[in-house]
Amino acid sequence: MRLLGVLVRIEMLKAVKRPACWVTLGVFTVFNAIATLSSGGPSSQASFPDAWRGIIEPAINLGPVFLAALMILLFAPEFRWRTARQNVIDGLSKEQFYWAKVLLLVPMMAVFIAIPTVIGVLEVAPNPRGGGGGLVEPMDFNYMLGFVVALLLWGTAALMISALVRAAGAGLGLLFLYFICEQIVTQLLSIRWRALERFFDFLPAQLYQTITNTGLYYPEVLARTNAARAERGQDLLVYPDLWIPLVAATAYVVLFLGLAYVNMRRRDL
Amino acid sequence: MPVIETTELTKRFPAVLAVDRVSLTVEQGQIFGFLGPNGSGKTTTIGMLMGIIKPTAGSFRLFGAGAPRELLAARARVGATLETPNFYPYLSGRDNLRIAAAIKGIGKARIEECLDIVGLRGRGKHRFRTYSLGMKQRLALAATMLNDPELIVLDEPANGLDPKGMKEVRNIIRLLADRGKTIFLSSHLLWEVERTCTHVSIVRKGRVVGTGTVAEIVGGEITAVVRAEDDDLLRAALEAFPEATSVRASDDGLVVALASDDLAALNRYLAGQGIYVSHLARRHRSLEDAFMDLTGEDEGAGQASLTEFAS
Repeated sequence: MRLLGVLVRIEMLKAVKRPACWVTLGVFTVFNAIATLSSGGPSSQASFPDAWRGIIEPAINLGPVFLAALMILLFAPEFRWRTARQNVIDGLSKEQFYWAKVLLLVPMMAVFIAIPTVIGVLEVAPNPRGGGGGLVEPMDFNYMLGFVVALLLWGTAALMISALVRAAGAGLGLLFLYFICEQIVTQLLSIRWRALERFFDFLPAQLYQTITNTGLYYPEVLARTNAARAERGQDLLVYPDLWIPLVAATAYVVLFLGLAYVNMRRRDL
Repeated sequence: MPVIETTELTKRFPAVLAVDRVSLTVEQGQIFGFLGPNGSGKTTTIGMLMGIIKPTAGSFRLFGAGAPRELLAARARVGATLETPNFYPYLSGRDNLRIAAAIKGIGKARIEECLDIVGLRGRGKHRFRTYSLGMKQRLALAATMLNDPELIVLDEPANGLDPKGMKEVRNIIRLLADRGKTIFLSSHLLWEVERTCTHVSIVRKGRVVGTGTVAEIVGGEITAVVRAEDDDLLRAALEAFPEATSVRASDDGLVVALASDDLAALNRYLAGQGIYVSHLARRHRSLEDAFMDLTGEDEGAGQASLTEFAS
């Protein structure tokens, strides 16, 4: 328990005093506020529980990306500065050093959840309880769960890339390049082999697209989207049961954590 | 019980055998100099002892502990710094020490004490990236002292320092030694090591080529510095001199190691060969001479028997 406290304390000290951390959080806050307000935001459903969708929608699209960038900025430079090696010399094992970064992911996720929530609550504040029912409806709760899983997916991918690449610039480049390339490659291959589409749906970037889509959580949004697509003569969207993409994304989270752990154990610092 | 004990410790990287079956024993209270040219495997050896590099073969013990879990506990009794001082550039010196102290389980008071010892208390709040190299080295020393360790491992602590900085570092090392600490000092500043250390190991291309007390390594060999008009002729004559065990060049002239201390006989021999010396003087053999002989770092070196220096 003492060790857990030490790991959290040192990681928070490293993060809180890092200017790049505040810059990333600041940019996210601004982008999130702009996206929330420009999309009509929670004000279009001016009270809870209806406001949740407008709060989470911009956050689920922006938050995971910013979280990943921040985790890479906080983890990867430790190899270049050789502070990872010094932490181990000072008394941590390589595994403990790695788990410290995993622990850091938790408060960082909390921050990325808190910022859009505060922005949304401030906008809804004049009329917090307009509709009936509870403060959070089941569909909103699922959307929140999807947001957490999306944050975990990108956050752990960032941890894995940091452990593998050990350089912030290259890590950020690799993360975003993969995200872009996966979509281009799968779209090109899908034209030739349509049967592969079902497999591609479970690749990390595609999966992220699925779990961030509002239609997965709100049937009326899906119905509206499909009505519009039908009018345009496009194929209707069909989503799997909610738990399938969430479990698949969670499996990636475990895989990314495992790969990073094995890499940290095996490689010299 | 030895503080450090390595047995056939080996590290092979894909392209190079960095450490080749190194066996060392460092006893409590020793100031142990670990010498070798750049790339000889010193830092890799220390890296293995500190748990940041996995050995390919062989084993080591710290304070008698050899198993991974025991080693983690044993490392709590060690203070170490490897190569350049490794700190967070955006954090102040004091905050950097706070991180090391938290890992070591040390309180704030000790941080101030250590900053005081290395003369950085006044600069503790400034960012590490603004420090001069000397200040960075001193902060590294402060970090190693935090847990009042029984063993202090310093890898090139005087690297890049000016003479004043070197003196400061040397004084701190002596201060620690006076407090009964065991010090494992890797360096290629030989005169520093000769002045500071009680025991020495010399490594070359990953292998230990000599180990013992400084006196044993330096040895009782008699050497003389000789200068004459024609260096090539002089070298050929010296190499043919029956009493000469090795000949090598130095800044002062040719250094010849002799089996006896009869310099007059050498002078007679050279005169007999038609060589009239402009300078012939007995020379105190230094650690640098022994190092050069053992590591072959100088032309003409390497004839000295390795076993002569072994303890």
